[in-house]
Amino acid sequence: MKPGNFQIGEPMPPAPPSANAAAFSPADLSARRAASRRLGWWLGAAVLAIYLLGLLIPR
Amino acid sequence: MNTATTTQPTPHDAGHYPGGLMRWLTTTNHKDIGTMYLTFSLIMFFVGGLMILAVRAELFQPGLQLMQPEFFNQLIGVHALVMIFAALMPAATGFANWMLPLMIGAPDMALPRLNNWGFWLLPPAAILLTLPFTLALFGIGDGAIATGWTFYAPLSVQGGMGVDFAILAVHILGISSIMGSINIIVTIFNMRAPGMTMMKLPLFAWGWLITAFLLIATLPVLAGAVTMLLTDRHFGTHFFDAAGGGDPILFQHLFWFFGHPEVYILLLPVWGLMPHVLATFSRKPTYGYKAQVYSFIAIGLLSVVVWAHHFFTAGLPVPALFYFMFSTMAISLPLAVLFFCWIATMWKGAMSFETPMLFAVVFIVLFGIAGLTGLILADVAADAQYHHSYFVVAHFHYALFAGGIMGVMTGVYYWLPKWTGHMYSEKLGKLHFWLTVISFNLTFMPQFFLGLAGMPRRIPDYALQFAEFNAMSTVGAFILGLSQLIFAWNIWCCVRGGPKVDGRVWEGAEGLEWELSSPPPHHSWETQPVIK
Repeated sequence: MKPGNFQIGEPMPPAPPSANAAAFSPADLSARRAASRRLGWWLGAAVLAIYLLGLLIPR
Repeated sequence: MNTATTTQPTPHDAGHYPGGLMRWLTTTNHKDIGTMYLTFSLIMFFVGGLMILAVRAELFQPGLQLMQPEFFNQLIGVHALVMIFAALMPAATGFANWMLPLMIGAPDMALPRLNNWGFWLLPPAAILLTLPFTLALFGIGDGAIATGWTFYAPLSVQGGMGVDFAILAVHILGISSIMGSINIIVTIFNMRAPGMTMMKLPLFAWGWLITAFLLIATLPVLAGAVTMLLTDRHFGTHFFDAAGGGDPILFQHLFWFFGHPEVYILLLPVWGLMPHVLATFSRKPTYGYKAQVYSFIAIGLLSVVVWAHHFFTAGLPVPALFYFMFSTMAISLPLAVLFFCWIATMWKGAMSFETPMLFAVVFIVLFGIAGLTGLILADVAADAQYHHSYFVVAHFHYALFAGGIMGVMTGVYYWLPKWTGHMYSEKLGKLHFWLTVISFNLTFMPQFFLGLAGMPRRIPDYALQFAEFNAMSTVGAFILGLSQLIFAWNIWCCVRGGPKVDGRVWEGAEGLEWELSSPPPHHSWETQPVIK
């Protein structure tokens, strides 16, 4: 990467294939936050699973 | 220093958030929370520093001068816990909060309320950690945890009330770190600006992404270990009690499964920051972006499979000794790639030496010493001699002070003008730098020789032949501690005022964060940044 290869503002070039053209609209932001919450719960469940794994250590 | 700036429109900066204390208690703004993390970290840095200055004062001469051994042990243990969990980790999280949304073009962290909660768990945990120690100063209770930061059983099973306080504090600190990690992972995955693919992510974000996954994978193991310790202490279990069929070495395995990755958790954010600083002040793009990303991933993966090198002398089977020796040494390969990339970034660059660059260059040298002495400790035969000696103390302070805390200082000087809109005093910054580097080496270099000569760590008294090096180390520690007041004063003055700076604070700085005004508007990116 060239870390500085960014530009701001208009005129906006065509969005790259991976980009969402409607980014940062309220709808897009709420969709991104919903996806984040879902992934957050999964990660939290993984943390809990690792924690509880200790109960299975034979002793 | 500075050239043009592009400011974001700030239609929502009309102060529609609460003021005063309520702003800080209820804020969900990533910049406010980042500021709170960094302020908390600085305060705890001085708290932990004062503890170790008392230790160094005791060690200035042989014999017991100022305190009893029990209190000495408490100071050592709480110093380490405070510096690791309450100073260095929150500083890195503060950087992430402040800079990640700016760097990846996000309006804020993905889960802002979780972010607020994560921070406000820290102060009660810090109080839990230091309260029994503080009460002991007034003769109340039996003092703080005196096992060192490792909680080794069976000492921790038999220890006083301070161990319970520390167990509870570590649980809370762990929950806070897990919340922060979840937030950082989902922010990087879901909140990037359009066009910012993973292989265009700033290296600081990559460093933090690996850190966050390491935290998610290893903190629950630490939490499990200290919960088992708690049940051994109070609920009749015998996980770590040999008399009841348990195994004290099991605790060492569980602790260091977390403890070794923890070293990389403390260092990876700094390794992610360094390429930005080196590229800025060399006025060149960073060298080997992909190589650095793959090295971060390799180091992250290797860090969870090398834990037992911390207790080679505990009596592990020989095949295990060989496995952990060679796997530990293997980490030096991706680390060497990072060193190569950092040096190559500077190669033939138009370098200038502002304070952040001075810290970054010295970081490479001093952290190199940490790496090389780490290789010595990774050798099973050599470790049999150096284990539990001052050589180890010197090694991990070169790693965590020169590599971690000086890395944080690099970041503070690099980003402080962006955060405040003011330039700090370069004169004070350089004075702080030189005093820190000289006194750091005066403090810790003699400790290598003390360790080689056989001085054990965690003792309040020592044999006469160690006196000169200990005196040097104590003088260095006090200069090191006092010179940090210059750091705090410089930050304070910069926050209060100073020459105004533009958005692109440094002439060679590149990246989304420098496209915003300094300080950035309350809502960071309202207009989507476009990434070519």
